[in-house]
Amino acid sequence: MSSSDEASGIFAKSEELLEILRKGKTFAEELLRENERLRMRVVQLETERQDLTDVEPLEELARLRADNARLRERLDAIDRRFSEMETANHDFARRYEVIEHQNEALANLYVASYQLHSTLEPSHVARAISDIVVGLVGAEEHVVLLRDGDGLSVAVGEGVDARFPSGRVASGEGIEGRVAATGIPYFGSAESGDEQVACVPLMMSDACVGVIGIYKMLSQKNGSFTSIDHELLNLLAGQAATALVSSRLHVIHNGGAA
Amino acid sequence: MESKTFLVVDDSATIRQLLTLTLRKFNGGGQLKIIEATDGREALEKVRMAEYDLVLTDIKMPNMDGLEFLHRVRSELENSSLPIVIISTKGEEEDVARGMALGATAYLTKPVSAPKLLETIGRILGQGGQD
Repeated sequence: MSSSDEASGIFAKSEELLEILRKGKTFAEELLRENERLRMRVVQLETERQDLTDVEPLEELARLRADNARLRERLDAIDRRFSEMETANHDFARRYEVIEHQNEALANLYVASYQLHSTLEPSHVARAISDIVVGLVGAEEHVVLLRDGDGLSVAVGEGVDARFPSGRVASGEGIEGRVAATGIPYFGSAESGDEQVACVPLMMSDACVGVIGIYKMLSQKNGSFTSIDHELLNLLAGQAATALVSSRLHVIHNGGAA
Repeated sequence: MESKTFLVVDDSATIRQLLTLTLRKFNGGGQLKIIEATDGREALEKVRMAEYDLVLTDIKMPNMDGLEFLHRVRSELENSSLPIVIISTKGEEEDVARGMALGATAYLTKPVSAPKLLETIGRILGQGGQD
């Protein structure tokens, strides 16, 4: 090989090497650009991550808290409304119960009144009064006294033999006599003892035609008179007096002794 | 609506009427026949002669009292499972125990309230009391 050929070969190799170096440089430059691009991307992602972990959840949390507060307020308002409705409902139920009770009492009184006026025999009227006093008021020891001359005589009684041994009460004597004389009902203690007594006059206009006396209530009534018992007795007394007078007039009209 | 027949036994016409007034509310008041008897003897004859769904009886009555009537129904009659409810002024524990021992289905004391009576009958007959 000549020296010129050898030089030419060396030059070609150096050209190849230069080419390789140029490509290496280009590749290195591309790598640097890619590296820069990736670094920028990392920074961008870091920023996004920061946004995600810090800013947005806080805002979301605040929004949720606000919603929660609004919902709690609404729930409290609904609870208050529910409570008001419940109270109103209880009041309504209580009123309904009272009205039902009054309705029942009125219906019973109607039947009692009908029974009082369904007979023209004074002794039957007295028996009906006694039945009503037991069945509606709950009396155990009781008496129905009817006007007899200037006093009162026992028409029907339950457990009162010892109280009225002669079967009569003189006008103005004892609670019964005073009630008959004054026409004023008595609800209070007995003259001898702590037991409760109810004594109601049977008034027709201004005249007393008899007296209902109650000395002991049935055990299931706990021995006491309620305000309804008072009312019932007063209403019953008015109807009973009318029925008694009607039956006595009927007896007189038919020639019997009243 | 199924028809029911009740027997009300009490010597007082007033009490019978008061009970009848309440019983009319049973089952909406429809298809209900109420027969009355004035004492245990008459009631016994009636339950011998006809079928009843329920009997309400007082205790203290002339001729035959409510406890004797109850005893006779339980011991003598084929329909001895007939529901019999005592409604009495006698409300002491021993009175109630005695009535239940003789086979009363329930024991109520006078004065009996309408809701209590209807609730008791409804329970015995397996249906709602009031309409």
